[in-house]
Amino acid sequence: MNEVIVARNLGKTYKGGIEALKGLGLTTYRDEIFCIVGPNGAGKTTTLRILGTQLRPTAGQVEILGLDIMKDVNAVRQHLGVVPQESTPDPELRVWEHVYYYILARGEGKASAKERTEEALHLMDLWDRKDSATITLSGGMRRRVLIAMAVATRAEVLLLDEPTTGLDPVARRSTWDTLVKLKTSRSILLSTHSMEEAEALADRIAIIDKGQSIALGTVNELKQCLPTKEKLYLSNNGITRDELGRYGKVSNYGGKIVLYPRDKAAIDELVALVLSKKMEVSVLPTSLEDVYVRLIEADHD
Amino acid sequence: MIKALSQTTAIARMLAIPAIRDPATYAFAFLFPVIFLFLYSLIGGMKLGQHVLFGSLISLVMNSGIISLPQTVVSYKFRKLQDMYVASPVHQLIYLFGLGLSRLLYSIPGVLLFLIILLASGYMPLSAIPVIMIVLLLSWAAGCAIGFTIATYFNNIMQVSAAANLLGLFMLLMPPVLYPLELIPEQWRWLALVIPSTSAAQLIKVACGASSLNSPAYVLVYWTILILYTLSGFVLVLKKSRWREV
Repeated sequence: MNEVIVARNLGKTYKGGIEALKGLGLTTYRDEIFCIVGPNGAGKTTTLRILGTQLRPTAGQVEILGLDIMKDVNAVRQHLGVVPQESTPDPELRVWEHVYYYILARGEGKASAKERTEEALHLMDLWDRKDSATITLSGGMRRRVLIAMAVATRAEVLLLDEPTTGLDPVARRSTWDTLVKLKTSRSILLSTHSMEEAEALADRIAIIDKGQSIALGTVNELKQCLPTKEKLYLSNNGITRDELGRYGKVSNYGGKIVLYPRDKAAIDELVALVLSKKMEVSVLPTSLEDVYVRLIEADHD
Repeated sequence: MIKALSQTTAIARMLAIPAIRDPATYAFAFLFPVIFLFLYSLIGGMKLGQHVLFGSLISLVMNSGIISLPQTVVSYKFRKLQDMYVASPVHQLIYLFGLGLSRLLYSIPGVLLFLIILLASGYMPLSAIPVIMIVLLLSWAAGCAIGFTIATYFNNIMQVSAAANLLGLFMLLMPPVLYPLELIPEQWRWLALVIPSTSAAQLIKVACGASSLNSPAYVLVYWTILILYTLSGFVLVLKKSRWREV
């Protein structure tokens, strides 16, 4: 496996003393999509901005393709394509102009910039709107313009901070397809709040909280953090929370209760109990979101 | 070097697109000196008016760096587009010159208009044009460097606009740029000369025979101040601007 990003003991304390990262470590590989998930303020954007050389770390070391991001910053930047969080295109420019001039500014020749722009706009399904001013585009399309800019760099490392925020489900899935195609010979690191996105895209996932990595692995590996592969949804009456607590970890889910059983036997016992009380119960497979919620709740406890 | 030049012009061309699409924006760039030309000519006739014409050349090119450029920097920071340029093989000086050139485009019609007026009215000899071009180039570069460095410390377009306008007032309106240095009492002239726009305007006025403070010692001081400010501006960009944030 070829290591692409290697971050060790990464720390960031902002002026004013806010400690955004506390010894974070991660490694990404070629041909991989690596997702960072975590609650608001966990340090996802700080991590991506440090890896993207936009922000200096206060501790630790990062190498990208073997190049130190502090000592070899100019060389590192040749290999990066980024989409910052909540970025928006210039409303006075057209779609084509954003991508084409960005590639020219990075030092490519006109022919290469033209070819890359065409390719990226086709990939991001924006070719038909290439001459539209970005102010006339929907929020999702504007987001795709920025992804097209990053894609057109043909960089070996793509850093995407919540790239699909604001996209409708169809556009989001289309972007996922594109990212999966792009991961060949690249390393894509993206942050997201969407567990569905992480589950659909990621080869590996890091769950971070309070500036530290609290879990790392593939979706299946992370699901092993839960004692069973099922969870139970119960209507919110009939059995007290204390009573349910005997069978596993209880959590609220809208108007219902979700129970993560402590083991397989607990499921059978609880199902028998709720049926005897003529309550509704559904048994569903656990998802990445369940793992995430359990780990974050445990970390906060 | 050729690659850096082509990167710079790419940024300049991209940011100049709105001006090219809407030529009316040029008008605003030289409206400001025209107002002063009118006012000063009314008060002091063309003897004072010619100083407005000389000073307007400096005012127009410096404006593009210290007022217009910071607003574009903060707008691109706000949109997080600047982050995409930081995380790319675009050096901050390339970005700065690209931005500066695009903003200069707004000033060029005004500069050309005033040059034509000065030449046609006989206030400017043709032989002064090379000196004027060098002075304008240095003034533009110094303005861009100062404007860029300041803008990197702001994230709010309202705040940067206020700061840039204040800087414009301090550098272009208060010092003897649009009026003669001779009007300032002798004991306070050094204070005016500390401001680079004064030296830049004096160099143009001396080249056109419009200033009595034209001894070789004075001229040396003017050049030294202007060059020192320009060089310090670039040291400031490299050492103090927040390109990669801390």
